[in-house]
Amino acid sequence: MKKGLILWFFVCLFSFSLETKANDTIDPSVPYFTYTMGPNNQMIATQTAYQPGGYLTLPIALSRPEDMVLFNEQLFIVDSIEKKVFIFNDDLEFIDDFSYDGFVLPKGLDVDANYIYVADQGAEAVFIFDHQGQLIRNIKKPTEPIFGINNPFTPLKISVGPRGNMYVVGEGSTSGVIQLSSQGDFLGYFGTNFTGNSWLETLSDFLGVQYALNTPSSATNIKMDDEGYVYTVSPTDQKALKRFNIASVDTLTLDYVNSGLLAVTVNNLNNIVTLSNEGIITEYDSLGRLIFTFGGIDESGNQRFGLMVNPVDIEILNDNRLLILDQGLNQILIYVPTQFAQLIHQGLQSFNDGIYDLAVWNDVLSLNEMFSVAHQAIGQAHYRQFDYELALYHFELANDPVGYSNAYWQIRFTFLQTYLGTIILILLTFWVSTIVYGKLNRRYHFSNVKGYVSEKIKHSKPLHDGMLLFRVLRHPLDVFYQIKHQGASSYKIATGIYVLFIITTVIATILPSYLFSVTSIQSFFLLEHVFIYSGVLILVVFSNYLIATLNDGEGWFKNIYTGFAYSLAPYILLSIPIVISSYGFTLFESFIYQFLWFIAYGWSVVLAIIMIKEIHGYGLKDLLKNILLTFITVGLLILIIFISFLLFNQVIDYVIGIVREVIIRVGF
Amino acid sequence: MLVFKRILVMFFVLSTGVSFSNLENETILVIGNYPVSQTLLSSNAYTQPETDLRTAYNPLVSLDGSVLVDENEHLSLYINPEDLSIDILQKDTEYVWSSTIHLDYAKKDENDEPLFPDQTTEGDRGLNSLIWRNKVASPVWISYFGGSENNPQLREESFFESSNSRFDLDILSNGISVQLFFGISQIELTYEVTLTERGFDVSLRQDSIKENSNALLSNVSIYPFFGAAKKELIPGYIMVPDGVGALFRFDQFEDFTSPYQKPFYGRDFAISTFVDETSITGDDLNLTANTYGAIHGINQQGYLNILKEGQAYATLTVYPADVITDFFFAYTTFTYRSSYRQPLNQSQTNSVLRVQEETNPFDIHMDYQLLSNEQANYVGMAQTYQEYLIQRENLELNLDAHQPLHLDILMQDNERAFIGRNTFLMTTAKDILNMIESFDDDMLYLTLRGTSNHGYSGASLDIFPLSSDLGSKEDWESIFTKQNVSIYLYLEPLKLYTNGRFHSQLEIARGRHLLSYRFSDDYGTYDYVNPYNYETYLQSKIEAITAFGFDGVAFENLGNTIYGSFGDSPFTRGEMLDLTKTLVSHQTVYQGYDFAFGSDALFQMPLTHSQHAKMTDTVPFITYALAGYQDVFGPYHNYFGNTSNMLLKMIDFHVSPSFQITQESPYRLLNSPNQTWFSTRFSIWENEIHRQKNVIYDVLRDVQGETIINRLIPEIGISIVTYSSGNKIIINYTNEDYTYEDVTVEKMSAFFYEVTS
Repeated sequence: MKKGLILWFFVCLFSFSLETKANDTIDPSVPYFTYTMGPNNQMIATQTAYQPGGYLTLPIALSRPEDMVLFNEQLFIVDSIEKKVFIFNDDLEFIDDFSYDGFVLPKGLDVDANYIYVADQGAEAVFIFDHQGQLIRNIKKPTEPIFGINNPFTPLKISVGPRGNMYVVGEGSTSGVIQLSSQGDFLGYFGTNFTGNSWLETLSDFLGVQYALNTPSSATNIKMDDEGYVYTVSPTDQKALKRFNIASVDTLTLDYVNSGLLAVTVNNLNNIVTLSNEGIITEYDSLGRLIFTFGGIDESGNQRFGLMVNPVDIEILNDNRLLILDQGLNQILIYVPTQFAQLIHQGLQSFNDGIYDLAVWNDVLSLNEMFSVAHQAIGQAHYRQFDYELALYHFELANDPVGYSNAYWQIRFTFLQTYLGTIILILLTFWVSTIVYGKLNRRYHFSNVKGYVSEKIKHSKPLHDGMLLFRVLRHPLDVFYQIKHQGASSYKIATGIYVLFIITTVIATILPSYLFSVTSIQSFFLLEHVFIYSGVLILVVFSNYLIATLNDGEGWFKNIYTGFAYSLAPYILLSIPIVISSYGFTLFESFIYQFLWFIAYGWSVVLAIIMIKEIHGYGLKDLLKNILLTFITVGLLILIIFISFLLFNQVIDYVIGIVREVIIRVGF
Repeated sequence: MLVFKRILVMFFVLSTGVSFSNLENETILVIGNYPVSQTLLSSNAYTQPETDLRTAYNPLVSLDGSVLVDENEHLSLYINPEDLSIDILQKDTEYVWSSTIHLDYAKKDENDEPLFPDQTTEGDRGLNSLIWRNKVASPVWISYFGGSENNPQLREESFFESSNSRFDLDILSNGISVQLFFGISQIELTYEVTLTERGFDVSLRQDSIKENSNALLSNVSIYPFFGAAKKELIPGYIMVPDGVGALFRFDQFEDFTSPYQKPFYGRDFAISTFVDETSITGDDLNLTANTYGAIHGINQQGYLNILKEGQAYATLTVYPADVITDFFFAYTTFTYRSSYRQPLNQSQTNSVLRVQEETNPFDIHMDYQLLSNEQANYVGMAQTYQEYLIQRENLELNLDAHQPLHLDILMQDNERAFIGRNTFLMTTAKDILNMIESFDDDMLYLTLRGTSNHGYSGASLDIFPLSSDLGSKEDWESIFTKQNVSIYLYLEPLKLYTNGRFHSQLEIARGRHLLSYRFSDDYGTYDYVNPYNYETYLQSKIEAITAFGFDGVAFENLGNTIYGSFGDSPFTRGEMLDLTKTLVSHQTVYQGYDFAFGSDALFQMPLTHSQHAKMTDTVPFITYALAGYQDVFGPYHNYFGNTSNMLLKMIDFHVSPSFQITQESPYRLLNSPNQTWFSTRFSIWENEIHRQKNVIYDVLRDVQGETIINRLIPEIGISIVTYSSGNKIIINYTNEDYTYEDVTVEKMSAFFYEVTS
């Protein structure tokens, strides 16, 4: 944790990022850029997927359209100022509207074969009409005790299930989506949002300090698809878009979500399309993989064609045209899929059907060689055809570790089937020969390598000190005793060990196999890495020395410096074998890999504790006190450096400001 | 280290034969036909049919009270000595253009009936505000900085706003000279209006301006209300060269609250430095040429105003009707001084407003060309502008009917490595030789990016000497011997990247190079340079490149970016415009504006406008003005979302095809800053380039080297373009066949219609 915090601090302090936008050259005919997911979860530019295709001709004037819904290709819009529901036929021509005296602030709308449902925030009711606009039912706040007497019933949006069950999103309905039967009986809450505790809240809980109640935010929009999945969007940072099955379990994992989601809908490929308050439209496939993201808000006030002003809702026609209800323009903007988007949809259709059409996806790759979903589909196609090597290649490009792991498992399986016998034979032969050789050597003494080496070590101090790195694993007390009392090791040797440690951290960061890789070489900053690790080491050693000096520690600075170096031995010695072993594991064995790292880290930590205890001659109480104070000192030092850095910048800025102002005002 | 990792991977994997180098089963790309929706075709992204063919008649102007100053075969120039308004009578159509209108057109009598029923319609706003009555009546509007030095305030004054304003009118042999004394600001200036053969000139010499310390002149607009058209009264439109060209038709005026306003050639970084770099929406396009015009009555009469001097400091304003007045009108404002915010601290939270000390050094010269009959439309405007360009740039007709193709080739790029950066090859000289052979008969323009050791990203000036990895001298020699191939090295001369090789080197060696206009893009953070300080350096670099055998350089940004600097080595926007004109001659230019039209070829010309709701149509004004004289290339075909539709647009707008190409898979670029080249592999694109080129030239082949004289939109989604030979190209964007006279043009196709004489 501490290491993480320190890392975070230094990363914040010394790294900077530049957000940049794609070149204007990709498709200048539309006023926005289109992105998709590329390898390594990088967003990459792609061809325009949807082109603005004009506005829907509206013979009626909308004043404040709130919600729209498509049913059987017929469009329904509810307007909260006109207090009307407008109905369009399947050619999107206006045919009728109706109003109702009880409308106060109608905001939500859904339609099924029998009824039109209107959620009215002002009237705190759900009104149900037949298709002629006659009121059938008026549903007020449920009276069932489980609804909760204090829970408000202010319906904002509504979605209706196959048997007329209603899912109502209410303002302040923090318990979840209100589920009502077709008769208006309260069935229960559905799809509750989670609350997360901030670290401050966790800390205050731990210390028993009262903190304001943490209630989950209520969903803001809802949509039900033909298969009965319920989609909700919520104004939360995490999991803003959820897909609930009938058991209220969220079944969606997304690698990218826009902020400020307003609405969600599903097309006939089961692709999920969302709309955000920044006018960003994002399309995912049914597995939640990002396909396209594009669009934007017109901030110039010029009403640029293809950008939105104040979007509120999105719907998809059968031919995949998108309709955007724009409250700022009081218009419906149409986006038409391009040739490129149609090709992707064709591929996704084959993917959904389980065909994995290689030809289509190869075409997609020809048009964008970085398209992740295409690589994944091609990978899956090859996997099915038992062509695991190519599958592996595409899974890596698609950044699909699960697919990669499966293909790798198959390749490893074949490899082991072919070579396992040979490998075991070689190992056995080697083992037997060593034993035989040892026995023969003991008898006939034809070589004394061991004796020669131990003689060498005995007479060379650097060699002896270096070899302590191995000895500390088995006899830590002995080694730390030697360091403290017999002058074993030196600054030079310890510094060498620290250097070795940093080198191994570099190796452990960039070299594990794809499945266990921490970062790629391209996103690895060597200088930053070295700076952070040496910084942390210096801080810890220095702080420990400071604390020990105040707390009657017996160790000299040199003792701590060298002792700490030796306690890193398990990490240094184990990390490279662990990294190599990562090439033998798939995700199924990932727990072994993680356990190996646990040993490497844990052993080093234990050694460090033993080191502090032995070097300073502490009892248990003093030891704990020392470790705690060392941590606090490290934290304080970081804080001091951080504040000095900020203050220094402020002072420079202040001086420059004064000088500039004097020059400008006085006119030197 | 990468090698080490790969070896480890190979331990398990490569033993079974996986290749990490390339995609398997190389696919051949085939893009089919795909229609766009009718709603898109009827949007402002296309040209709309002319539906209002009424004869234009403007009862709000009259020659009453005006005196004839001069006349010629086509025109008569009148001046009203009372209010200084000018009137031009077009003799062939007997139409009167005026710089003002009847101010009381909407007045009503005591019965609330209109006094001038032929001049007003229900719902007119009328000119009720005194400020706007004065403005409409005034020949000149100015704005100036008053207030104290530390708190400057921009104030406006129209000439008749103050009763203290005075004027001296001199009648010249062919026009008038007017000296104005503004009553409030006490500013004096003199302008002239003279009759020319086809129109009139309006000019103002800077030395005639007299200001005082209380009023520093900022903007001047002369006859801003010239050609104003009242809504619903006159059919027609205003044409502005926003991107490729845009129309503001007079039948669309509802729902707008602000005028369209843009400086010619984009903003000046020296004045306004704000750039939203996180935006995911594209930037507005700029005004790409020094002109604009209006049509009153389709194919009846119109004018084109060409800004011959002062265009670098001019801003175009177009008022749609119902924004303040009942009129559509367009005018230019010339800026002599601007204010700018000077930050006092690094974080720029504190700043002072300053006024530019020295005025921008320029005279104003506007050349109004009046158009009539078949010339009175946007194609006529393009022809008129073409005549101006021919004269200014000494353009010559492309007599050889060639079929130009542009390949933009990435040679090398760079990526982060374990330590420092690693340069990698994307295309070699030998690959280029193969490409040239594939397009043997064509006129090929090749632009090569990333030719030095550093590679493409962030290279700026670092393009020559060539990296030896690309090929030997002999390889290059064999390329240079090829016929019909022009090869240019890509050069970004204005942006110097902070991580690029030339950033500090030039700064230190030559001093004061970098201006304080710092921005960032995909390739890193960059500073704009003071181009004056290294003009000779640039020229010598180009000489070395041409001496090696290349045809020159392809300038990025130089053709579309002008800025001034008020620093220690100041230069002006106008000077930079002149410098660009000199530099681009015999070179090629990306996205060039009119001052770069004299270059060898123009790449990446936009085929759209900024798509504001006020604009009603996209028209190919720029490309038609260059047709027959210049090789103009459109956007890269690699990235079209709707390829078949875009190919039709290229034919319609008369532009040549252009592709981005690499020999290696663009996947190789994943870790470079250059991720927008996502589909460029030659092996995939080769056949498709041939196909797309043929789609275009099968139709355009026989009209290459001709100019365009007419374009008709008979119905939504159909264009009929007439060339100087009389032959026509019919373009059918729709999803239904179209019959023209005796031929049927299939859906989503174009047809060459030969006129037999």
